[in-house]
Amino acid sequence: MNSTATAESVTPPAIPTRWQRLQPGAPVGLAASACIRVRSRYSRCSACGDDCPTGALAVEEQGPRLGNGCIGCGRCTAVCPTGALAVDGFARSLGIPPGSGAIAVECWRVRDAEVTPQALRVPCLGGLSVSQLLALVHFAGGRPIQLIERGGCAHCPAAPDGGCPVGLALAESDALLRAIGIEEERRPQLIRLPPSGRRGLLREIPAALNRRVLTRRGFLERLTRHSAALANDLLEVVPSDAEAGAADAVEAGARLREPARPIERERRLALLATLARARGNALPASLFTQVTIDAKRCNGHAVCAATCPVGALQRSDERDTTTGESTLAIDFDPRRCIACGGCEGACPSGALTLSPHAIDAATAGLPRRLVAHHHRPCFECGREFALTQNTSVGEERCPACRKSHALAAELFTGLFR
Amino acid sequence: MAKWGMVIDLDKCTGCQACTTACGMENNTLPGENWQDVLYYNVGTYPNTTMKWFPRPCMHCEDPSCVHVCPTRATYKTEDGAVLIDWNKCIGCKYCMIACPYGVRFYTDEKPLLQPALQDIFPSNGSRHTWNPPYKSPHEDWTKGIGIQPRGVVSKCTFCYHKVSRAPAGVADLDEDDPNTKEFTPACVRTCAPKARYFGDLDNPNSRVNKLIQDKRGVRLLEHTGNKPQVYYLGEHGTVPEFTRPKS
Repeated sequence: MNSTATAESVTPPAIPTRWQRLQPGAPVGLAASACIRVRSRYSRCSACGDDCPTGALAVEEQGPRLGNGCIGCGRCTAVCPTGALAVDGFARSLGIPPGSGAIAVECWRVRDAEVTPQALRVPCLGGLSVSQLLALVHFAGGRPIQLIERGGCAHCPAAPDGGCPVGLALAESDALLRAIGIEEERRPQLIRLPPSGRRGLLREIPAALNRRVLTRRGFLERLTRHSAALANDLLEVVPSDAEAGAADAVEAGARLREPARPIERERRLALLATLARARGNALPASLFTQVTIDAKRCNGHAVCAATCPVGALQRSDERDTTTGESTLAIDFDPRRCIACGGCEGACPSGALTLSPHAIDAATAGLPRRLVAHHHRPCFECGREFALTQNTSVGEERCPACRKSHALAAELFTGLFR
Repeated sequence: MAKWGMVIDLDKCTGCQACTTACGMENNTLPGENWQDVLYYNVGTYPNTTMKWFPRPCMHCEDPSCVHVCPTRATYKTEDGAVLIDWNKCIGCKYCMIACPYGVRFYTDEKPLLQPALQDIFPSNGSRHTWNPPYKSPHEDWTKGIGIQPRGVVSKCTFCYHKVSRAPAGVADLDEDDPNTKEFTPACVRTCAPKARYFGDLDNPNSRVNKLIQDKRGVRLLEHTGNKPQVYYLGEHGTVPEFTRPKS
């Protein structure tokens, strides 16, 4: 044990600041500070790994890890709740082709010459998220939306069960759209067509670099110009600073302290709310989770609020200016909650429960206060501590001072009597 | 690789708080954040009362509960036995402070107890540091929780990791009386006037700390928690005055 070199080697690796490809040259990039699995060991999220059709992406203790066999289908990005993953070829927002007919979406395996004219192109339909399907419905203005499968899914590694991998997202968006009263003809449909040419489909999803690359800036420019060309080949590659992978540890830390944005959820709720409002319907209660805190068991540590990766749980400290009493409260915003379960695991007293669906439809989506505790100054050290229902009557010491007393008692009555 | 440990002889400790002061100077801690503290208790009922004390550093447990609960894995155990905090990853949730049975972790952004607060006298100059003291540790390393503490994180005793990690390889003890190891000895050990503290390699059977633990039956605090501290306490049977529980 000598030099600084040894000392350096014991420090665990820093969390990368920005996008980093999960493997050199792989089509998948990860923004680690947005990944709720990286952020908290109490998060149970393994959505990307569970949905990976080839098993190349596995969610480990420290976050997602990419092995061999990634085909760039983008199914992992479609299910990520915080937009922490990006796959070459997928834009967050799809443009709407001009015209008045049906809007077709086709995968990259269909040869360019044989594709439906004006079709939107993505590497694989499985990489479409629910919010992207909802966005299509919203921006299509009543035009039918056709997700086209040309019989290639039967032997495609992106679809291990043989059906088009957009199925799950399609079923979910369909249920949501039905719940808010969208007519069937406006909901996206999966259409099975034979391959149009004699040569059939490409054997596998072509690499993004072989296609015309449209950068983020180019994409935005085209958006602003409302260009007709918007329709085809919307490419968003993993942002280019991914290659550098520079780990500015201090900045990464700052990002960890800020809540991540639940991007998929924000988009879903915004789109559904707009669509529902147009029909005078309310959002279904099943969209919202329910978090409850048992006031009898809560010790007011507020670990749940400190570790909530998306800021759905917030701690608020309030002081009554007239009485001088201070209060600690935990507030919950169901619109941000992605039901990752991190709060449930992190609560030191096991006082918190999360259920995936709200029961009361009227209040399901409304922010609310879950628990509030008064503070009392510690008789010994003067620091304020939360006065919970667990605190015994007449307790005047804070938990830290109680801990020190327990140590002294152990040392002087137990060990050295 | 050494496994650093400390032995504190309660028979020798005079409760002078020199260790607490040395620690505060070495590590730029603020008042209230005593990484190393001597705790005093008045025990017994009048007129039969005694004052008792014991020094309390971080125990640098073999199986630390703080490391197990940290949601961001900011706190970790090094190969040579120290428990450190990566201030870049710490989000200040204080779960480790709840989990630590010894109460040796401190939140850096706590409301100051003493007025005027040192943070106001030496305000930090725009950086994330809690304050800007006249003396600054030259070894600042946020990945190990060394240096002036930033805001909103948890801090703790590092066993003076900036010193002990530079000790020559294979050394059995870090002793302030040995010129070869003096510079690598933790501040509290080096300053202890009655020499109540010893610091060395618990894995080395010939180290002085191991001999003391064996010969004088060293004990660890709160063994039932399974944390297995690497700080041992010594005290001859009967030399510490009788401790009586206060009547409740």
